[in-house]
Amino acid sequence: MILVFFNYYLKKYIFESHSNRNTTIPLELVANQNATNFLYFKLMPWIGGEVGLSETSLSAIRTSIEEIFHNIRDHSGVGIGCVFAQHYPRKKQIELAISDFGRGIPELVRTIIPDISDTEALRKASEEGFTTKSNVRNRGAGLTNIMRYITQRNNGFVLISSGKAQLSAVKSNSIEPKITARTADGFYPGTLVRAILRTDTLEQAAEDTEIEVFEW
Amino acid sequence: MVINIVDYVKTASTYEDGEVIYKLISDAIRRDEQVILSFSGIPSVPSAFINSAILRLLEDFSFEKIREKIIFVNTTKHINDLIKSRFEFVLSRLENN
Repeated sequence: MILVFFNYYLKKYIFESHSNRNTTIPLELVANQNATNFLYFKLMPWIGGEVGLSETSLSAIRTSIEEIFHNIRDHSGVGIGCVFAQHYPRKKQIELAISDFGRGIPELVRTIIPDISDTEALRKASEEGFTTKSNVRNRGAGLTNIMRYITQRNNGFVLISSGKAQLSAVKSNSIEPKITARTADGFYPGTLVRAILRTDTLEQAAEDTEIEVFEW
Repeated sequence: MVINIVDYVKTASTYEDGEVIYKLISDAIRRDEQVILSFSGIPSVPSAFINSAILRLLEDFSFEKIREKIIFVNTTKHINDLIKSRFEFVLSRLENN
């Protein structure tokens, strides 16, 4: 379901000429079983069209977004998430916001480490190999991969809000991104992942999907 | 045995997709066959797929055996980096425990 904001919430358009911009994917509810279709047939073609790159060359970026959808399916405990995307051509950025109103990261981490604060829980969840073992699907690499790829390869950044905490991942000069967790001003009921992609470095992502001989 | 992933799963995305491939590889190694695992037509995969299709083999076989028996072909830099970093991480964990 597409939520055309004012029409949906106020039951009227503010301006008669109101319409969605091509640079926006309006807030859309995406059920878990439709996430793959949404990603492959709507979001990625839109990103590709906005930046003039083929979907194949953007597939490493698609995989990072796919990890977020997997997290919703495997951990949130709810069957639906929502997505909003905005291209800022002058800033050379695409911002993706993907959210669920499920259990949230701090609550899940506390099933393993009961007394941990929301801030420390977010930091813990970002460590490779950490898993709440809510089911066997996860081996604790999804969040790491999202943050590593978007910051270190795309030079973008990732912001995660959950419970009373926020976490940011930005590019660093080492292999891993610089991760900062802090107490949030408010409370996020569920998990919100914001990925800010740089459009002027997306061609680098295209190189990652070229054939390369595997060597141990 | 040649396992062309796209012949067995619609998408190489989820844990369940990976599980289909894991069973094929695992059975072939048990029969002492060489496995040629082809990622033809797949430019990149999420960690859930690699975890279930390949990493999980460490529960059944040694790393040396896996390395000896599987040849990865038609891979991309993204796939190669993910396979290697996941093995590196899990093996370092096993060493430290």
